[in-house]
Amino acid sequence: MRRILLTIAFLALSAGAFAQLRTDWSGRLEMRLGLESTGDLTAAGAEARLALDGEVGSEFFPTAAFRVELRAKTDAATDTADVRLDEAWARVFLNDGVIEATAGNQRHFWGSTDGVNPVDRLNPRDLSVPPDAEKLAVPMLHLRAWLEHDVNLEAVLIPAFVPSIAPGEAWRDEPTFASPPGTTVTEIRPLRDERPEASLQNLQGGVRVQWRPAGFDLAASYLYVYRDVPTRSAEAVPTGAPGEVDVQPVARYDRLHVVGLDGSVALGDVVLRGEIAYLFTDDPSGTDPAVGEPSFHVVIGAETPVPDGPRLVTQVILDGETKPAAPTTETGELDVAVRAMLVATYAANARTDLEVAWVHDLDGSGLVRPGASYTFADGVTGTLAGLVAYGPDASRYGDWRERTGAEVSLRVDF
Amino acid sequence: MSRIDRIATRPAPRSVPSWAAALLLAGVLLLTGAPATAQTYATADQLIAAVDARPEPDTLQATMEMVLTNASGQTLTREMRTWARGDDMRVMKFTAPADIAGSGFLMIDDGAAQETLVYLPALDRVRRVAGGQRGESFFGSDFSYEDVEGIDPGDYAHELVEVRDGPVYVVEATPKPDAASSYDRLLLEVPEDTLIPERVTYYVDDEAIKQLTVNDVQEVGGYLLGLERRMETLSDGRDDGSFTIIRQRDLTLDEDLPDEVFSERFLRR
Repeated sequence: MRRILLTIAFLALSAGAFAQLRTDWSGRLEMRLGLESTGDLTAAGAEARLALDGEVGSEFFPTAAFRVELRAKTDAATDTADVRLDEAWARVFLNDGVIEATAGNQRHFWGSTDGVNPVDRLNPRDLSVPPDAEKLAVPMLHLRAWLEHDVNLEAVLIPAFVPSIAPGEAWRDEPTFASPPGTTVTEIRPLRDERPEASLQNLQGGVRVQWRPAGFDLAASYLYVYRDVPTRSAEAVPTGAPGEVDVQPVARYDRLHVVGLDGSVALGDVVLRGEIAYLFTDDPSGTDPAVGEPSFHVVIGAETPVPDGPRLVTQVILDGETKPAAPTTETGELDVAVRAMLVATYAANARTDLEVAWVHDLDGSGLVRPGASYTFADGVTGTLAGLVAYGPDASRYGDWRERTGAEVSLRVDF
Repeated sequence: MSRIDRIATRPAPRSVPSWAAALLLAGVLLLTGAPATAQTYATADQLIAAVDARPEPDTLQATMEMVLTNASGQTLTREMRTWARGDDMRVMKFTAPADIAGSGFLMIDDGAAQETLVYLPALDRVRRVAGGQRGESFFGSDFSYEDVEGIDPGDYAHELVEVRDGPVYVVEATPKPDAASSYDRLLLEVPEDTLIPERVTYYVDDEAIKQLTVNDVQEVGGYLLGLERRMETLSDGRDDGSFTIIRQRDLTLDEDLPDEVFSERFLRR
């Protein structure tokens, strides 16, 4: 695939030889500095992106298109440096564009609601500095067919599993381990990461059909994927010496079936959006501790503008999970968590945008993320953002209290 | 129904009987350069019918440059490409600057309802825009979505307020009770020689909050079009004194546009 993309990029460079080939270079430079209330730096780095987009064919619907984007990033705060191929795909349009087939590193979004999309498990995410969760472009084959009666159909095939980038140590929950009675732990071994290898039986994929007549849209989807965040456990490994065990942490990625439904409808000044997803595993009884439990997720939201004021998005998020079955019962107990989310965005003027997002969990914890951005000139934007976490220990967001802080960034798009 | 103050000047069902006479008169006056002094239209409804009946291209493609100037004189420039068919189908896609390039919106009015979809490439998602959001700023400019989509004369009751030298008709347009308008009333200034509302003042609570001025009126492809539109914010408490100028160029008129252009498929392309 990489060879194909490089060939396309080379052809793009000699654009003059192809009358119908249109190319466009674009890029971004961004610098970030983040500081926590503890005085620790969360970000002190820079990122550069360079992208080449191209099209071959007529003005309205081309016969082919491609995109190649390189990203280079360095961050002194996390002591990381990274150069990677981000989106890098080639697309052909068949039957006058009715069918689009795309191969390569891609990023796709399914769902209708804002910020929380339980039906969408297509791409892994960069969770290294939560609550940020940027999607990672990964190799996939994507097909889209624009059918009659306002229906469009998508199918995705993901040949190789790529996990999400795990949260940094500061934000990672280590699995608890209770040593067997009468034993002592001698060593905690390095994590054994049991990620699925690229093979035919480990293929991932899904389909989505969306109906978008005038006034509303409705989509149904199914995904057969791996959980991109591992289920972590710890095993006791006898060392050979009497009463002594080593602890072996294990990260496993279990299979998931994701059945989803999402849609939106405009009712006067309000747009209602909703998603519902049911996730089940190949261990429906929940007896395998290395396999996550079945769960359901519901997001219902409304977006409405306040006259001469901000645009408001309110959402209620339900996450239900079946706890592991007790030895004496066949099915586990249902545990439901409820969160409410409010996002207010306001364009103070052509250059200044304000936003505040607030998520509150009924366990008493929550996150508030205020932010302001200012456009200094065309393509030059500065952003100041904050993060405030609150709640008791062991609550959903309470453990992030120390992450309370602020970040400033400057971005140049060209 | 046509929209009388849309960015691409596109009035009118041709079935309105007075358009031919009005155009003929306007054309004669333009050709001779003679100052028009006689008042042809006795009522606001007659005038608006004539405005609404001006000949229009069936389709329009154009490049639009949007320059946003704040009260301090600092500018931001955005460029977009637009495709329109009739009064009821329009697509706009931003081509510059880089941080919003690829964003676009699709407006379709099927007579019973109006639907506006916005495409944001960073989210790879087409989002529905609710009716009330039509009053919001159009990508940070002094135009609102409603201003860009245009105003349907059928949604307004018209009253002739004054006839100035020229003659220039001053007409007050008040939204009908069931009209989805962000404004309480509009004051239109319509020179008889062009029948283009060359100045529109928008009122909320009896306060003039914005003013649209149409400049560079030219004949293009046999149609009289205002190629530059300037929207100034007078007083909305947000950015008083700012203004946005939209200039059109590279116009292609009356060329067939496939149905698929006015679809999510094209919006995403």
